[in-house]
Formats: sequence, structure tokens, C-alpha cells
Amino acid sequence: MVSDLSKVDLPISKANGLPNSHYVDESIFQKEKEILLFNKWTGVAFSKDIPNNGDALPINFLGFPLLVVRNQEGEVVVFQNICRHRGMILVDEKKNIRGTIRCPYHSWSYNLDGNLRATPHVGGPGQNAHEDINKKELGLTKINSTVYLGVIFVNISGNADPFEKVNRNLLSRWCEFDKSLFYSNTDSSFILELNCNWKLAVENYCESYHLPWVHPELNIISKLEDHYNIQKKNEFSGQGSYVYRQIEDKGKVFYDFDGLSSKWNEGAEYIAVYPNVLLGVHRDHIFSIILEPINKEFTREHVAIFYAKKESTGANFSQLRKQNFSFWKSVLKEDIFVVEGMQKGRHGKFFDGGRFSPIMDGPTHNFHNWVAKEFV
Amino acid sequence: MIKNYSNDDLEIANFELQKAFSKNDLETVVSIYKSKAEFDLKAGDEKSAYFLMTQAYIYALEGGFSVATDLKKILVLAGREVI
Repeated sequence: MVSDLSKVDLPISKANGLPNSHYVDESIFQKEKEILLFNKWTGVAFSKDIPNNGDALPINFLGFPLLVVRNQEGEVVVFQNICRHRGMILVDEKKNIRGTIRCPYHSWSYNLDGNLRATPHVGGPGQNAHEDINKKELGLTKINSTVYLGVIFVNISGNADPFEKVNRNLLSRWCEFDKSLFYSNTDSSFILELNCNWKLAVENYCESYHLPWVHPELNIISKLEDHYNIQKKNEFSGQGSYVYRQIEDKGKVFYDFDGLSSKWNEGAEYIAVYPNVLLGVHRDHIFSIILEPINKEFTREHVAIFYAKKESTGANFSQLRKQNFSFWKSVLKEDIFVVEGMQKGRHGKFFDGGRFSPIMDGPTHNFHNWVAKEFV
Repeated sequence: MIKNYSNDDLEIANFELQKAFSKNDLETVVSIYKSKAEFDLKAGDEKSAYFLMTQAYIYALEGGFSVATDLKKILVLAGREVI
């Protein structure tokens, strides 16, 4: 299918949104997989998913086999999850590895840094070395990775600039939140399933225009005029609020991050980091969302809430955490009918990508511009 | 646990090994392979001994057991593994 993007990068007052094909066409989905996801810094898991040294988590990300590991030094490392011998999947379920990663096929064994440690019987029975098999050259294929605000980002292609360079403006903007985060296992994560293309979830997240209609309960405490657009060309889109109010339970509130400037007393920001990570920061907690594209019209939304202080994850705060969890889950669930409705709408062949509000839709237009620029 | 498996004990060893694998009890797996390997080595059956020693070594590596270091030394000395 042809993708006419000529009107996407016009000024917002004249532009159209991305055409239908970017939401319903398989060949474009496959092309976007390479260009927008594999070539970029893409969120694939949370650091809380592998809390202990030796934890190993296999992930099938759009068909690409990844193995996310916390090594014995406590660092997160990511590998292509296949043996260098016969291409067998090494780890097929989450587990803790005390020693080596042993391929279940012929038992070539790798340490948690990916180095090949043993090649049993490679030179014949009981002969574990061969002059043509150089272990130093046959370690696991490492995938560039980094952790930011609880999200494990990977660059599968290996071609992207360093994460810190690509996202320097976001890192600078939110430097006050780049600290240790604390997670409560029992009540701080959930998954939503969305019958839509992953990009629609990005688009809905980054604009505040829909809040009065889709989240009417916010109108009393957080009106539309209390929000502002956030957009950085080719990097991120989002919205900010001037009226964040901490959840309270009988006067008790969560602990704050240390050293925050006064901007954050009642400020909160919600930013979509291109391509697929949605982040929200507040004085006392953050949340991170990974959009896992399953196919062109289905996305899994993984949500994790992290707290500023360890105390906030204790039993004394369970009631407050429950409230916070319920609040965010209900807000995010309210968005489902919108993104699914837009997906259905993308099958209307006369839809031209739509026209934007020149005032309210800047963040969405910014995201579409990025997609169009990368795609072309 | 049976420590030294002779050829007469093969059926027992095999049964114990299957039981250990079914429980993912790698420590016992290593112990059984190592015991039988040592027996075979004493009996002069190097081919079987170093095959079984290799099996013990690989599962010891997987389990993160310190005995892996000793097993590797044995294999290296026998020219069956490189440093």
C-alpha cells in the first residue's frame, strides 16, 4: 500500500495526520517495526521484572528473541536469546540462573555476561575443545541496553546513537527524577490489552485535549486549562499539569523524591518517549508504560508504578498504594474505548488522517512528524 | 546418596539420575556423574570417564557449584578442556 505522507509534515494548521495505512497495513507495520522500533531505543521490560542477580527473562519482541539478564554484579544486560551453535532458544521461561546459561540442545554454556564458557564434546566424546572453535569469538550477541525510570530500553539494530545522546533533552528536563526507584510487588503493575495499533496509544497519551471528555472526573481537580503541551521535535511529546495533588489517606501521603524544585510541588508531567514508552512523573511516584506491539491492530500495555522512597512500598502504605493503583488503572482503562474506536475508524477508507486543532494537538502532530520523517 | 557407582550399580545410578533430573536437583546430577566418572577412571576406562566428567562439569557450571573448578582442572590436565 502506498503511504502518502506529504501532508503530515505541513504546519499543524494545514497538516493531516498519518494516513490509515500506518494503522492497518501489514507491510507498513513490518517496515515501521524495523524503522521505528528496532532501529530506536525501545522499551521492552521493567527493571523490576529481574530484581535479583541471576534473574533471566526471555522476551519475544515482535518476533525478535531477547534475553534480559541481571548479571552477578547487578547490572542489566540483554542478549539475543539464541545459542551461537545451532541457533536454539536458550531460555524459554523466566528463571534465576545461579551459574551458566546452558543451551538445552547441546549444552554450550555461557556466563551471565554472555561469554562462552564450555562447549561439551565439541571435539568428540569427552573432548571439550577444538582448534576451530574459539570460545572468545562465540559469546552471546549483546543487544545495546540501558535502564531509565525503571524501563529497560534496547536498541536491537545497534545503529542508534547512545541513549543519553538521543534523549539528552528529556534527561535534562527530568534530571530531578533520575534516582533510585522503589517498587512494591503486590500492587504496582498491571497489563491492559488494546485492540489498536501501538501508535494510537502514544497519540492519546501525549495530548490533554481529550481529558474533559474521556476523563470527566478530572474536571473538578484538574481542568483542561491546568495543562500545557510538551513537545520536542523528533524526541518526545506530552502534556504537563500545574495541579497535581497527592493522594491522601487520613492525612498520610507518599514520601517525596529528595531535592525536588518547587515546580514539582503541584506539577506533574506525562511524556511519550518515542517510540513506545510513556512516562509520568510526580513528586512522590512515577509510572512507566511500555507499549508492546503484538500486531498491527493489537497492543499490550504494561504499566508499572514506582515510588520515590522505600518507605512508601511498606505495609504502612498499602492502602494508599491501593488507591494510587486503582486511580491510574481506572484512568488508563478509560482511554481504551478511544484508542480502539480510532483503530476501527482507520478502516474507513475516506479518512484522510484528520485535521488537528492548531492549539491543542501539537504533541500528536509532533509525533506524526517524527514517524513521517523516519519513515521517508 | 550412593557415592561410588560400580558397573554393577548402573541401574541404580540411572534411576537416581532420572529422579534428580526430574527434580532439577543439579547437585545430585553432578554427584552421580562425577562418582561414576571417578570409578571409570580408576578402572582405566578413560573414554567413559571423561565423557561423564564432562557431563558433571557442565551441570556444575550451570548450578554455579564450586566443584566446577575442580572438574575443569581435571579435564584440562587430561587435555580434554582448555584454560
